[in-house]
Amino acid sequence: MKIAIPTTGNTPQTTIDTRFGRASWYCLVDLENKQKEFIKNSAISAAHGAGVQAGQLMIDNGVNAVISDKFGPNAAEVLRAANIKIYLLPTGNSNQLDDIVQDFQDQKLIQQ
Amino acid sequence: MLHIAVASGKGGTGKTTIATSLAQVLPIGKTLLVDCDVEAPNAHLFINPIFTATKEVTKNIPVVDKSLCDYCGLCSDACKFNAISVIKQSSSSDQNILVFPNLCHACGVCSYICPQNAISEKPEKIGKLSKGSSVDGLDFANGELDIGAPDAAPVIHALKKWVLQGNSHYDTIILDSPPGASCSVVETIRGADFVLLVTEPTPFGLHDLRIAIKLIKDLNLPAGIIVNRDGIGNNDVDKLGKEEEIPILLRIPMEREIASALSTGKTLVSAFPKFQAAFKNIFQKINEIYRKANKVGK
Repeated sequence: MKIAIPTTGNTPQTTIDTRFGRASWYCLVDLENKQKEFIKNSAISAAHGAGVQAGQLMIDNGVNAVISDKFGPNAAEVLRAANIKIYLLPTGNSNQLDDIVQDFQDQKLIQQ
Repeated sequence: MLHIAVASGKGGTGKTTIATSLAQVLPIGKTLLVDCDVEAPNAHLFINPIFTATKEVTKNIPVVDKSLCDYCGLCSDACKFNAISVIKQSSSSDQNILVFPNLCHACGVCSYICPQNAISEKPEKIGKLSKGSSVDGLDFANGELDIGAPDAAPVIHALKKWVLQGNSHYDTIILDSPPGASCSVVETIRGADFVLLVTEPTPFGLHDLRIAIKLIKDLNLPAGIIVNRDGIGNNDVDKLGKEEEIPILLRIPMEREIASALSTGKTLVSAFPKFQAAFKNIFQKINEIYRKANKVGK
């Protein structure tokens, strides 16, 4: 299973970007081998439809679930149509990548 | 025929105050006032027109025939506005294609590019146009963007096309522009012969006036400035006018009586006839500047 978390940077110490469609990077985590891969969000500067484009990026990268704080309606529609599961960040989270991945594996996150 | 656009940059500086009064001092039957602020039209509140014709504005939204679509994704790659999303999946039952009408600019590239001819276009209503005239005989038209429709420019485009085609008997057409300096303003002032920039002498008015001036310079249009609520703020607008070589054509003082008369739906020239001469004078100056800019002899 591959999950995606929007981030502000592309290092393991980076913090979470709370907006899905206009995040700078996405960290893709393969839960089987714990491999992390960062992909740049090409949609960040789109004048319109950043959410659609970001959703498309998730599909093209074979993501199964995304975790973020805010999803726009268009992004959510694309993700749902592609059967990509949407999880919300818990309030008061540590903002650290590894903690969020752990929370996901412990099934502490709420699915939208 | 002279097309005068009234623009501002900053909202609420008095574009409609100027446009309605200018229209009222020009000859009846030879003048058309068009309210292009289709997101918040308000000139009709001052003109009280009786509308005699209306027209719907539509935009063409792609419709996908899923029995023909092979989910190749060419349409999605071609769309500059991310209005169409193709979900390519390994199992064919999970494949999908989504259209986002609110993002669509109706350019038609998706239906053009589709190798399967799976995309057709369906008109969707986005606004309404109206035209008529006031009891005094001033010809007037406006457009109204539907609530929830995101894009004003196509409605403005349709409005201008509808009222200008085959109406060459007008001497002057006054286009009351939306505020700002984005697509809807460009659509309004495109093709105009002169732009009247209405501002207020405050840092806000100045900031947005700068942006509006940049726009009219890009479009290479002659312009003049009207300072409304003169007496407040400072004289930075005068300095900017000098720097940019755009003349200040009129100053309207900040007076409670003016604000109070306008708030009852009266135009400036009908409430204060002393301004009639000033507006006729502006029109003269516009003609002079226009002729000079285009080197047209008298």
